[in-house]
Amino acid sequence: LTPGLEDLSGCTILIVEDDYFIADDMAQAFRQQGARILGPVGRVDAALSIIAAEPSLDAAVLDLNLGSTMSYPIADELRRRGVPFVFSTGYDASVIPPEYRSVPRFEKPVNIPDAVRTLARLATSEPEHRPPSVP
Amino acid sequence: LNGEHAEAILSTVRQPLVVLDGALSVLTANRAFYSTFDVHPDETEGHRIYDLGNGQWNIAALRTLLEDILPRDGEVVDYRVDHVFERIGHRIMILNARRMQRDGQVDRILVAIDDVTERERALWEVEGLKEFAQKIVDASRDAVLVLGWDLRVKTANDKFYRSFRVSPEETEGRLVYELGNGQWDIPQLRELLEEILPRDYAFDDFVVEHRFEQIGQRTMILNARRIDHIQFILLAIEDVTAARRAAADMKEPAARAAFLLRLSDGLRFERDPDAMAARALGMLRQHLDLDRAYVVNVRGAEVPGEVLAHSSVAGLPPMPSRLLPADLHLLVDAQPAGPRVIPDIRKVPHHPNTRRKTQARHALGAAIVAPLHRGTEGTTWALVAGARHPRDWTDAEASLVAETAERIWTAIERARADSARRASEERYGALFETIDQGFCIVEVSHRGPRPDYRVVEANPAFFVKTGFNADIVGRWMREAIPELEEHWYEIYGRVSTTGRPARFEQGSAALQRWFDVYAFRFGAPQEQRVAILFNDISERKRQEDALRESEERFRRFGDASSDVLWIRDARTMKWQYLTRAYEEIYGTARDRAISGDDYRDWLNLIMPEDRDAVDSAVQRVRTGDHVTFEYRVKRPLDGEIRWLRNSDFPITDEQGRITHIGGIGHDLTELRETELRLKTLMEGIPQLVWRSRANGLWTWASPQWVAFTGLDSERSTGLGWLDALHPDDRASAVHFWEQAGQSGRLEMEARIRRASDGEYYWFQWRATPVRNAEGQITEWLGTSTDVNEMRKMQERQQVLVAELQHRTRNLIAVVRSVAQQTMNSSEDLHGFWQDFRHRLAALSRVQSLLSQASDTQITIGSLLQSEFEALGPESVPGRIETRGPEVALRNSMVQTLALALHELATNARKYGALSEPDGRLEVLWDIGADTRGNSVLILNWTESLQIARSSAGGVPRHGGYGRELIERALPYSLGAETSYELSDTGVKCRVSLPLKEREPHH
Repeated sequence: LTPGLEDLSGCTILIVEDDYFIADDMAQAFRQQGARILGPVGRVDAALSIIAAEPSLDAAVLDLNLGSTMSYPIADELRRRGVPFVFSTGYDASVIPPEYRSVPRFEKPVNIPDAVRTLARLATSEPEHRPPSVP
Repeated sequence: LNGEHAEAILSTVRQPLVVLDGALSVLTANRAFYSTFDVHPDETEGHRIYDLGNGQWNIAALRTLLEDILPRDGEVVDYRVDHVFERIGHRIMILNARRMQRDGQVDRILVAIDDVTERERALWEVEGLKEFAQKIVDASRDAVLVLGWDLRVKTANDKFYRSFRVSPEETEGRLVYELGNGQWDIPQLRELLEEILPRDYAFDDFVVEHRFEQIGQRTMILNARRIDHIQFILLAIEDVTAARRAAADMKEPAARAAFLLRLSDGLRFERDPDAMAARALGMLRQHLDLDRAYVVNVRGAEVPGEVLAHSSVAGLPPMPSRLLPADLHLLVDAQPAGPRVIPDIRKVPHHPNTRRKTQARHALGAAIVAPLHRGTEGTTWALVAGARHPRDWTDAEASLVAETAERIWTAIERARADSARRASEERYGALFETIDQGFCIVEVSHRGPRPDYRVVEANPAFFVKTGFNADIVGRWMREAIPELEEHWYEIYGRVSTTGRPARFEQGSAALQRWFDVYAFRFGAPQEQRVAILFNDISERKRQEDALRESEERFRRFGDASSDVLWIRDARTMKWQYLTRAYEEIYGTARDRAISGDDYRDWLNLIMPEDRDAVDSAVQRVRTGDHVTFEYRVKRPLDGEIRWLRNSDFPITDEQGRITHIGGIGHDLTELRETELRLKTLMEGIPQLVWRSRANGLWTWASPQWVAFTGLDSERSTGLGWLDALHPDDRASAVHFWEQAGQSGRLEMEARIRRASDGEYYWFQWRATPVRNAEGQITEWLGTSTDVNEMRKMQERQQVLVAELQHRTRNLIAVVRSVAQQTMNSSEDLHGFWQDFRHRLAALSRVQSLLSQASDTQITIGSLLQSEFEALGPESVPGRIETRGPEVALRNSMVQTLALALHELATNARKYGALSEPDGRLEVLWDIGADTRGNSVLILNWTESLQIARSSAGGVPRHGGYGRELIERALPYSLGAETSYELSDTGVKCRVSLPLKEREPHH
């Protein structure tokens, strides 16, 4: 655990990122804080499969641009399930469609401590519409 | 003689004397008077003589003496008065009277009375009456008739028989009136015998004019006595015809001269022509002892004559104002040469057309008619002198009547002229009083060194027009109005000395007025008088000045105007006014244009095809129309064609007749050219152009609009253009137009349907208002610009910008990741920098390839070549073999693949085949298919070393990053299948890379 950073122990976090090294960096950093990492995956279908197979998902980090596709379908599915998530993207806020404006956004390159802090807050919050997670 | 002596004489004289004052009152009388007439002084002195003794002195004969004869002659001698007094009975008196004057005033009248009654009675008694009578009769030189009281002739003397040519037989015993066939039946005689004689005992010297049958006209003096005691009447008849005629003939020239003198005086005395005629006729009547005299105007025999004036003795029938035609032939038949003498009117034949006895015949027995054929043609003005009884007129009488007629006529004419002149003078006097023109008469003085003048007479207008007060009259002007200009004195001085009239207009600063003056000498030259007739023309001058100023202004406007202003005579069509601008527009000098038949010349400058229309337009102006028309002229100077617009109008005089026509010619050439350019521009620009009223009510659409939308101009007007809009944009377009009314600007975007393909394209709409002088919007000019491509480009640009941001940030993330990985495998900072620098360079190369990717496709060959070139020139020749078809790579593949190839090439050069001189590298690729049948790029990287190395020594720690790239990142990011094998002879690497995008998530 890196001192001064939130403990992510017990949290299951999905990383969707098409660049291998970025995804790897993020995964290593989150793991170091005790999180269980799902992925990383760089494709929509792979991400959706993981979500479908892992009901205990606590939070997710979505790269918006996955090569030739965008990750909005993943975001929609996560919303449906009540899983909190953040966008990690190079896009400006103005490009993001209005319905996703409220989603927290990490500008690339992602500041890892910020991302950890946000994910810790999201993962531990209990939004009303969030379905009960597996203990 | 003093008063005392006179008194003494008066009292001692036996003869009765009475002294009267001027008013005929008795001052005193002597004793003889009182005793003779048996009156008392108390009832006498202080009383008027006529009142004395109960009015018994009121005797007609005495009155004649005192009132007529005495004032005229101053003295009366032996005046016989036969009177019956109240107290003393019948008295015969001889009166002598004398008038005494002092200081021209009648002072005293002395009357001496000689009572001869007793003396005459004694005489009668002494003589035997019959004898006395017979003696008187026989002794008388006169013809004497002795009549009884029955007026029958007792006897007559020889003289009578001889004179009247009658015999005693046919005379004695007869009634006097029956004598000689009734020729003594004379009205005057009857009056004398039957009226006067029974009353007065006697009559004396009674003149009777009578025309006897046998002896003709006779003038007789009759004296008669009633001899009461023998009851005879003694009638003495003296024939004075011859004597009278002789006396008259002798006295005639003098009497005539005297009369004519008096006539002249009398005529001069009267002013009124009628009164003058009446007075002259009265004088003539008295002078010739006429009964009637009149003047009559006759206009022919059939029209009643108009009596102009008359004078008649009392007792005559009244003078009619008109004479009936029956009387007129007496007058109009008169010989024009001289007077017509009619001794007995009864003998003038009656006019054949009438049986009436006329008034003229009743009234007159004889006449002299003096006609004057003067005045109007066909009229006769005649003077008629008439006597009641037939009368033998003398030639002198006829001549006098004619002369009098002439004089009366002349006097009347003169009186008429005078009267007319007086009326005229009065009228002129009134005229000068009332005329609006100022009039005055001035007296000029040349006594001083310079002339001076003063007003001696002026009419009311003079004061109004000069502003002088009434006290200016009589004052010398130099003293009265010192500031009056010198020229007034000079002009009037000159007129008075030269007598030449002066007409001039002159202003006076002193009077602050302008005058129009006519001055002329008035009266005799030595009077030095000048009459001045003048008008105040200050107002006219002001108007003239204003007019001149206005004309000057007009001329300046005309000359300054770039339009041609002109005026032609409507009849001759000659130019009377033409401004300077003509020369510039037509290129011809004005004076040349104006010469000759300038209208025809002007028409000839007009283009032949416009000429008829211009001519008929100008003809319409000549008949009163206002006409505006356009035409072209060809300048003779340079053949240039100019467009002109004329606005022509008629100019009328006060009666409304068209005397001139005027016009303004405006050069439209530049406007025309500008219009043409604008039209070309509007129809040539890619924009759709339109014109609109407020609220988007179109009035016109350009051909481009029609072509684009397929809506013709007519269907586009009003709100028709909305049909070409996208249905979603129509409401907002209407809204924008409503806003535009307030903002004064229209700017919106809306889609227009293109007719050719039915697609909608984005247009930007802009309109600007056209305002009038008051700033109100009259119309809108607008364009619709195709912004479809621009909008697309903007959208693309937005995408590109977003993409650029994404890539940049991604790249930085990659760089950080590369740095992280390099750091993980570096021993020291130097080693880190060497590796990181090369990796960054590789990334950089990829970026530059990607930036060119829009132009040229990145192929695997070009990617490899780029990496090998980066190794340096010494590495490549002869030792690297690359072989495979051209395979295009997707951009998303390039970065990761390039980094992997960079790691392979770097390792080969550092540790592998390229690190040794005889090492070889072979890169072969081809397109194949993976297990699922997808197209893949299969690349084999094979290094071969001549001298085998131990694998332990040959595996560099640095190769860790490259191997991770190949074995982990390529499969992760690109779905590749890879193998990496490190042997003694070198690296063998195989990469199978899907060329197509992986199947999207479904």
